[in-house]
Amino acid sequence: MVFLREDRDEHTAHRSASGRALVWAPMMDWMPTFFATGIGQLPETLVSGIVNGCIYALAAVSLLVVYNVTGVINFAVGDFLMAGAMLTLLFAGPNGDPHRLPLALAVLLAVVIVTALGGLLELLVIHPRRRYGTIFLLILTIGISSVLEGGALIPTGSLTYGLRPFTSGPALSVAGVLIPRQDFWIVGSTLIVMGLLWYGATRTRIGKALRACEVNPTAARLVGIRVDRYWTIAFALGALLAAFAGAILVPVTYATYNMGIPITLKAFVAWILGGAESPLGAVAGGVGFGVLEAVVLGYSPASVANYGDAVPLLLLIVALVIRRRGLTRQMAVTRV
Amino acid sequence: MTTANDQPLALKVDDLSVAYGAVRAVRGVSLSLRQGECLGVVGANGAGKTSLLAGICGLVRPSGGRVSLDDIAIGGLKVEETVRRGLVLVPERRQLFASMSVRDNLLLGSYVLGRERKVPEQLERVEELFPMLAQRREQRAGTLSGGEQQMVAIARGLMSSPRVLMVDEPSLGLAPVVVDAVVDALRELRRQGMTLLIVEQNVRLAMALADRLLVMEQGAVVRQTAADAELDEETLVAAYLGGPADSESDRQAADEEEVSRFV
Ligand SMILES: Nc1ncnc2c1ncn2[C@@H]1O[C@H](COP(=O)(O)OP(=O)(O)OP(=O)(O)O)[C@@H](O)[C@H]1O
Ligand SMILES: [Mg+2]
Repeated sequence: MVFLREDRDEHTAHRSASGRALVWAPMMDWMPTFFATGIGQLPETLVSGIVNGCIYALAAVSLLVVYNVTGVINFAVGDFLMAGAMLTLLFAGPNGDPHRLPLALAVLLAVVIVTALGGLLELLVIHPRRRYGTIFLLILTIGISSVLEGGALIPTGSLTYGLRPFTSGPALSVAGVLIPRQDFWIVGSTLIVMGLLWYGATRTRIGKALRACEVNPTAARLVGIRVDRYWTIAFALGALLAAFAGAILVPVTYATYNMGIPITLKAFVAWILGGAESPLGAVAGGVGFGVLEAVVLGYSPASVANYGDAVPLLLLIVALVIRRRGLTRQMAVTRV
Repeated sequence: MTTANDQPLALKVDDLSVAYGAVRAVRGVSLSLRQGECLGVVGANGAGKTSLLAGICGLVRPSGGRVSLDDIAIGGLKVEETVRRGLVLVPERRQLFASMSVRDNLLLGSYVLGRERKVPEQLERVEELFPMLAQRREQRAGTLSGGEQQMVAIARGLMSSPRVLMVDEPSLGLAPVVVDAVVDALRELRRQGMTLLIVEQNVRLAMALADRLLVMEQGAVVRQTAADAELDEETLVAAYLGGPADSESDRQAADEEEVSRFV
């Protein structure tokens, strides 16, 4: 709903139910009249922020899982999301093409492939250089990000693609607020995924071992956990979360080969805002940032909203400064 | 009680060396441990006791020597693999999963057992040995007292039902009363036939527990005695201070000396 790139290209002229777009449009020359809208739109703005926030939350938790287990900041998180979106499109049929695979199957396939890709890239690219230190590994993930973008650019060109919502029909009215159907899908499935993640982390053997690697890698080795393998598992899980976010996002946005990096930045902000510590914090950071972004962009004059993409970066700086001062101490206390 | 001498060898270490760069922390140590036996290793700060255990179990890759468990060579294997073969280390300073519950710590101790039915059985066994565990199941391990943490660490080590249990400084930082509780538990383990290798700063405690004692000094075994033998003064001095001529017992100084000697 916030800034929507007007795409005049005939075969990409798809507008989603909510008309919301997360694509990066740095050269926006067209502003929706939305910014003239008054306070009456607040509920819709908030809903839109929460929905975007779910995507940021999934991406932030993806960052968190990889970072906590391996210490690597996965700069490719947004590109795994893009890959999930693109593959969902490919399998389900973009822009109202005749249906190919059933949607559920398309999403499943896309997520499975990207998950495998995440694990494979860890094995082939990160694994052999595990001991090189975090800065080196961060740069490797930037490399992975570029390769994924390039890999998407070749088949898709620089075109944008959209997908029908998971269920068609007019927006539903909840207490007088019109909410597009896909929004329910996004919020609902994010909740389910987070629930499953919580269950897996606290109730299953693999989940506990994954947490053990993050809490105390030496102790993990001492009880026989092959920590190296859990690096691969963490990257695969991170890719899974991002790909799933991409799959549920694609009906409300336009997917392009280069949609990943802005989302990586936003996920990074959400992750830091949430304290960079717990999954719950990352979710709160994601939703909080989504709402903040929607409100800021929704209620600023067009001249300011033009710089929309500066918002996450500004917030990132603020979050890092605050974190230095206060949050780390708070974290140290609660940690033990 | 069984006489250890007619039992088969559980653990055999031959000429083991461990080096950190130029620092040779363990220099050609040999030892052997029969089934059901309890061996104590004493020595001053920096004598190389922890490094010896690390080298035996593969937490650190030894620079030389052989290790075998039940006559099967395990030297050069990483610790993740030696655990699977039944050699478990209860590390110095416990190394618990601090933010996880006592129960999760124990369950992780049985990680190598997979989904075997043995896990609940093992839980029961260790809770019998340390009754406090049953009352503290849901408490985060990091919030336990030092003594309780040591008990969780030993219990976690037992969860995979190891062939040999190595315990590094069980009394470290504990009040005397608490030490007694830990010692009692280790005694009980011994009575049940567990093969134990215990590293201790506290020579008297080691004597109370072990069948035999090794004294380490600057990376080598300098003395070997039956634990009930009267320890002569020289041995005690060596064990506490790292050598009769060296009156400086401060760890920092010991470390520096070690480094300057070998760099
Ligand atoms: N990771 C390491 N890197 C470099 N040197 C090390 C390392 N670990 C131990 N050392 C050195 O190896 C020597 C033996 O250390 P070790 O910890 O094995 O002694 P220790 O007998 O267990 O001492 P303590 O009684 O204090 O636990 C010391 O000089 C120590 O400084
Ligand atoms: Mg030590």
